[in-house]
Amino acid sequence: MNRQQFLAELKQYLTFFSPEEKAKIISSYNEKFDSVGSAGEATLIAELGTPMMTAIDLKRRTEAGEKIAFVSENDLKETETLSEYSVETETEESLNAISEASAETSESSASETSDAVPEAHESDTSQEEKSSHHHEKAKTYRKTNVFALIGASLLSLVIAAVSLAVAAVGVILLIAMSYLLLIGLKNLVYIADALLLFGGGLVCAGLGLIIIWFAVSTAISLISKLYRNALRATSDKECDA
Amino acid sequence: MMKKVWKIVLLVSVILCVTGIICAAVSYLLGGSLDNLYLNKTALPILEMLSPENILTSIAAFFGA
Repeated sequence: MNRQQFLAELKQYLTFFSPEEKAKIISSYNEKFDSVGSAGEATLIAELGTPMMTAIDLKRRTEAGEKIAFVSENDLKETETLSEYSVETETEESLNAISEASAETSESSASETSDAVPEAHESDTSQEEKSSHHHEKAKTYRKTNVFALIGASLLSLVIAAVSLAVAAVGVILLIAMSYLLLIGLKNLVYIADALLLFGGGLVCAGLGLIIIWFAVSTAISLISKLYRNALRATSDKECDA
Repeated sequence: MMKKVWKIVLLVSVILCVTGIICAAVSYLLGGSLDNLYLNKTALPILEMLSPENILTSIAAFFGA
């Protein structure tokens, strides 16, 4: 794998980032390659690992820097599967690198091939180390997540119990207050009588309103019918005349 | 138009009736009753004035019977 291939693949795997971040990352890696030069290109690629691993590493770093507490198990599983997949692809890529190197040697010289093959092997070992390191990291994340989950559920239970207790105390106080209020009001005879009168008055007013409206609406409809009949009678008389 | 007015009248009367029933229920809870009300000396003149006999008498007097 050469520089162009590495950067192209890395660009493909940077789906977690925004276009601006992507551009920044690619430019930084371009600078790295520029600083190393064409001679150290292969070594740098071997150090960095596969583009997929680099992308995952970048993602992890950003997460660890910003919101590491929110890393879910699914994310970890995904990263694990990705890392496993990357190891597999790495072997394929290393084989490709070997084949490329062998193709180059057929064109140039046989001594260069002997240098390229060990480099590929070195990159394999470094990638395996990196993947195992990532596996360990994922396990630790999972452990911390499980403990955090247990702690959060216990805490939520305690909070729920406390809030229920507070609500129960509130209900008891309300019942006591209404009971005391009733006892106090029972001693005031006038309030009961006044309420009785007021309630009876309201009921009478409501019923009276309905009766009045019924009478008014009946009167209106009767008058309008009588008026229409009178109009018809006059029009009939005019027609007859 | 008539329907609208009818609806409003019905709504107002229902509200009045429900409020009145609630007030009567609260009064009953507080120990109020018609017998106790008639025992109340302050309320007695009003109750006598609002009694059906008194109302009928006043109507008859109004129409000059």
